[in-house]
Amino acid sequence: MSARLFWRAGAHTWRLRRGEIVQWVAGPELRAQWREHALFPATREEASLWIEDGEQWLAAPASAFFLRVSLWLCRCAFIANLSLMENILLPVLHHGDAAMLAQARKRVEALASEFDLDETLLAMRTGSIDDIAVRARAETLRAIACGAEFWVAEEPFLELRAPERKALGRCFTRAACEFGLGVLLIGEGPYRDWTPEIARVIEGAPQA
Amino acid sequence: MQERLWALSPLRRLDRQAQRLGSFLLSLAEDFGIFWALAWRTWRAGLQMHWLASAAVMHVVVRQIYFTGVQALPWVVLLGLVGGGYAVFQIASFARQLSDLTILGRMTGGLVLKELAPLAVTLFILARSGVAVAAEIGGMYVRGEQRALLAMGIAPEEYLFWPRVFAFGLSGLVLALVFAVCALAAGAAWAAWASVLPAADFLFELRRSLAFGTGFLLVLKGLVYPALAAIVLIERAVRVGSDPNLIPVRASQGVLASIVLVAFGEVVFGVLEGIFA
Repeated sequence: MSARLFWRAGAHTWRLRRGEIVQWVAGPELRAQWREHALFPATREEASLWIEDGEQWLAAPASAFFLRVSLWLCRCAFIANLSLMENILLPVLHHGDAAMLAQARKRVEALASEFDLDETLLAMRTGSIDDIAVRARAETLRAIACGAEFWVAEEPFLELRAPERKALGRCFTRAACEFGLGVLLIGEGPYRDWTPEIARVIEGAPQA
Repeated sequence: MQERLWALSPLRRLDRQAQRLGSFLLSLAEDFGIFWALAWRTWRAGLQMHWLASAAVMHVVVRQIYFTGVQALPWVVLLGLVGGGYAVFQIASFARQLSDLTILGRMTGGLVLKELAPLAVTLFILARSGVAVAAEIGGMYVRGEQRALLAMGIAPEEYLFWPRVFAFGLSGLVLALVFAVCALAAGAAWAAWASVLPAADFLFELRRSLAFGTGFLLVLKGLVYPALAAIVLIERAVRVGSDPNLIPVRASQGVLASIVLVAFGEVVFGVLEGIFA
């Protein structure tokens, strides 16, 4: 059985398979609550984001969870005193071993040009990169290169211009269709305009 | 009418002052609570030692040690040779004037090794790295970098706080020892050159009078003062929230609070020494 990603809000639980793109429409308050329980679940019952893979159950703060799920939360920035390459590889640098790191680095080098991230840009400290579109492309590369199985993005299209939104939409499609990632888009926007391959749109959290 | 009289009465003024004092004490207690909670989380992250296996955290640790310790080394050597050396020379001259060379070891141990070395090094680290640490962490919180770390399953206590506390503690300890050695060497050389005391006599008296407790306190203070100062600086910096205008305010508050804490530490060590002496 392949891994599935589950998320919960209130009494409702939803599921995402690999290769699928789902949008979950949730307002800022609901998202804030959900985020808290996704990142700091006090108990298993409290967790609002987890993976089930056969008998295995994984949620934050387990390292294995963060190697399999790439989270992109809104109002986050790259670590300014690291290079873009180091930022992309940071989850593997922290949670992974040397072999995983070498593999991830190879993948970044192989795929970087496809995401318009050249060597100069990868070597630059992110404090001097001001372009949100670069960040969006780097997040895509991180999700793919670090070997994640699921990619959770909160308000990913925020502050992007129309052409950049389209480009990011294509990234989501590519991540799901070509690399087999399960993609969960969380936010209020009409994301189907940019990512038509969305399989399901789930409206908020119905009252229990 | 009664209300107006109450508003003008000395009791009303006293009431206001009591309220102000109460609020101040409550906020002070709250600050202490936040400080110790952060200190506990940081020490726990350090003592769990997961950071030793994380290439990302080790990278930060090495960079922080390089910035706080290695880059500061020439300055501390200079400070030890000039400032510490002069202090030791003065003590040697004083001991010679009194014709009581036992003073030399006692005063050098009591003043230069136990007090001057850890204090001078802590103040130097605060001035050089303290402001930088507070501004850097404050800036990271303003930009939302700590949220990015959380999203990658990296605890800020492990990635941001512990490397800085560890680097401050370790660098403080090593730099305090370097300061002490430079001060003693320069003091001995200076005293011999000025014909105040031959270097052999100086070293003999020093070795005779120095106790184990002196070295222990030098090591302890050298380690504890900078590490505590780092936690104070970090605690102030994370309070910046999302307002960049608060970064310089919190940085200067952090440095001042660290100096006050070190002064308080001196009192505590003095009292403990008095009790156990």
